[in-house]
Amino acid sequence: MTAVGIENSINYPFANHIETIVVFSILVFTYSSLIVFLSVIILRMRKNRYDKHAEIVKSSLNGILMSAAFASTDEELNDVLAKAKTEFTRQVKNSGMALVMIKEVLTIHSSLSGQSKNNLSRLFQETNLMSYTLRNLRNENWHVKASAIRVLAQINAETHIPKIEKYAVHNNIYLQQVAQIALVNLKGYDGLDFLGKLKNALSEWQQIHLLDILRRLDREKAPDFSQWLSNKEDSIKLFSIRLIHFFQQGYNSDKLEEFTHSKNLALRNEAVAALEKIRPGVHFETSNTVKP
Amino acid sequence: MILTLEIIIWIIFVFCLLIMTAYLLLAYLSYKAMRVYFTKNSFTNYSIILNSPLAPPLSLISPAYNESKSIVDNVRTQLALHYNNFEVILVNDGSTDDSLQKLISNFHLEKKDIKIPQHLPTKEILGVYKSSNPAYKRLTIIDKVNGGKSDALNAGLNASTADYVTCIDVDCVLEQDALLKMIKPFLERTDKKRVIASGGVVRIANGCIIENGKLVKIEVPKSFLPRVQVLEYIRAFLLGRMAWSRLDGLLLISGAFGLFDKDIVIKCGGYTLKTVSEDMELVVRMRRYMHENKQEYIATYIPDPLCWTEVPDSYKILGNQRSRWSRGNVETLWIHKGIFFNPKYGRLGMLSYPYWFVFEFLAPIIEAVGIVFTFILAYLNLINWNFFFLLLLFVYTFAILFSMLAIMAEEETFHEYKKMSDYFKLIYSVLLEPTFFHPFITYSAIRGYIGLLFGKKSWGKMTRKGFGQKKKGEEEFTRTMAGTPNPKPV
Repeated sequence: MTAVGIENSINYPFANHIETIVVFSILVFTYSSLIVFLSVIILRMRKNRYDKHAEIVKSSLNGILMSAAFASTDEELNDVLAKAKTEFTRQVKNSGMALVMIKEVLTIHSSLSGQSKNNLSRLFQETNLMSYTLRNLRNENWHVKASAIRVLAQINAETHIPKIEKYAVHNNIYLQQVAQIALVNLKGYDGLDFLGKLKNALSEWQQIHLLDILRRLDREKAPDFSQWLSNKEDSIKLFSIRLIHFFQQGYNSDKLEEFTHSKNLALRNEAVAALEKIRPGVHFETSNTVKP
Repeated sequence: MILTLEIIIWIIFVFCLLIMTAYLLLAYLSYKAMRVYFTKNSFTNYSIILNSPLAPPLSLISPAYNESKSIVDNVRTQLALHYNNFEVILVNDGSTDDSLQKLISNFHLEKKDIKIPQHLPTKEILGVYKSSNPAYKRLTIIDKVNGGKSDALNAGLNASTADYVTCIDVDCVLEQDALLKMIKPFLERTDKKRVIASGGVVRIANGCIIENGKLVKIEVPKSFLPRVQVLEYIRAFLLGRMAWSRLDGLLLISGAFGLFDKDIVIKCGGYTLKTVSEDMELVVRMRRYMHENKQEYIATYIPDPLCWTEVPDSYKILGNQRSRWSRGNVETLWIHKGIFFNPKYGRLGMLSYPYWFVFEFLAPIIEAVGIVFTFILAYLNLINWNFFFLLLLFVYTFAILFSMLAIMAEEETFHEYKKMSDYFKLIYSVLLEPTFFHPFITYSAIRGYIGLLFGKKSWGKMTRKGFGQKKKGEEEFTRTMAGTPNPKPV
């Protein structure tokens, strides 16, 4: 193609310079658009196929899971486990399907209690779902590791707690948070030990998460939360005050009083709010407190 | 003569290349940021905040002007949002219809002697209403003399008792978990940066079916104009804002739905009455305030679709809306001209503002000049037609590619339009958009600039059909835009 295509058209040296680039760009844009167009169609078809496959896997899995959960004798359970091992080995080869299976096991596991729950935990541990999860725990990607930690917590895999503990103070903040939640889920109040080792701040979101788990535990067994009031990190001090407040640990009120003069506004306000709650009848001057 | 023409063509061509590069770069950054967001977010359990005593209090502020036909349903929808510690403040901005009466009778409201602090100056407050029914204890209605959207929002800010405020258009439909998602960026920081604002994706509700304030069916709009705007919104929200958030250069959080740190909003002086683009102006002013006070901060954006709104489906209304937006942009840029290439404001001054100035403000002018220039050259027989059509094809194919990338991003992330026919309808719009829609938008923007030169200040009129409801044969309604514009997708 020349720059002077139509008769009487004016010839610009500029056009000659860039014509090839423009033509090349048009071709690139056009082919790229076509590729994107087809990719979307392929993406949709693959998704449909995946969804159908997942449905088939789920329905076949469901029967095994129910048989395992409601097995009345050890022999019956062993039979189901043997069948599950064969079935799962085939499916777990596909990473996507392994995740579907784990999700399904966890969903049913969370809705059960007692022996049925234990049976499903055993099924998870004795089939290759556990080895798949532990393999993920060794994966280099933080999110794969985090998923594995979450699964271990959900399935109450207490034997693997030591493998999770090191991640509670990991440099990756997201991995750290998942591990902290898992530890509190698995160890209860003892899971809060990481607070003494944490080098970074504990976000408000994480505090909400941890409190959500802690409030479901037996209040009588709660430790003395003032142990973290001397932490260097203000956010951990704040969390301790909130815990003292929520668990009504009146015996810590003297320690909280020191915080009513804190330079940190959030700590001061939280201490005043906690003291007013755990020491009924005592009113603190709040004129110098402002909302954080 | 030829040399002058050469120089002009070179300038236009270089501008064209710059804009294309910027778009592709932003799209790439957005895509990467979204992937990171989704990976991180897969570990988030929003439900834990629902019953948490640590959930920070929120205020939802909605200005309303002559919204009688939908106001009761919209308030009910807002009251039903998932969050445990929030209040709904509806500011009746001097409506001349029976909005207030409807609210009083439907929510058992009683006028209360409540003093509203005057952190921000507003028009006179005529009354504060609270419900006698405990089921509506979260609701506060403020009746005031008409002062426009900004004035109504400022009245709501004065009345707010929470630390965080979200200002929403009363006719927008929020996803039920929208507040849970919006508050998260404020709570998840582990560094010293203060989150001053957070925005989410606004989607188009034309063609969708909404029942009892909930979106029950999502479809691509049937008519061309709203459908092209679907593309426009996907491009802007999925391939633009996420990148700006990642670059810490976010200048605009849609007026339709944004969450703000109230303390900073009030310290900045609240919403200004000087511009019709009060949402963008507030974000720029808040950021400016934080820079000038040397406070570490961040304005964030989350890519989840949280808010659904109706967009114009006639050229007249769309034209008015776009010319208003362009006026608002210029007004905001003018108010904050001191930021332009000012290193004191970091990326805000050195990147976001110049980008906005060149690619949002100047682009329609350069396009319009280009069109006029082409006609003159054609008249003088100075056009190399082969090359002209080649350049036209160059721009057209790029526009197609960029829209296709936006559709791809939507498919990979939210996949809201599940039907294959919806996908093909969008492709059809992709092909037509550069030829019909874009020139019209450029024309409207130029009209806005000219209007501004002649001192035009009004909001114009916006006709809404009421999404989904039109299928049930309800009548159309018209309202004057003293109330709410659509959110800008730019």
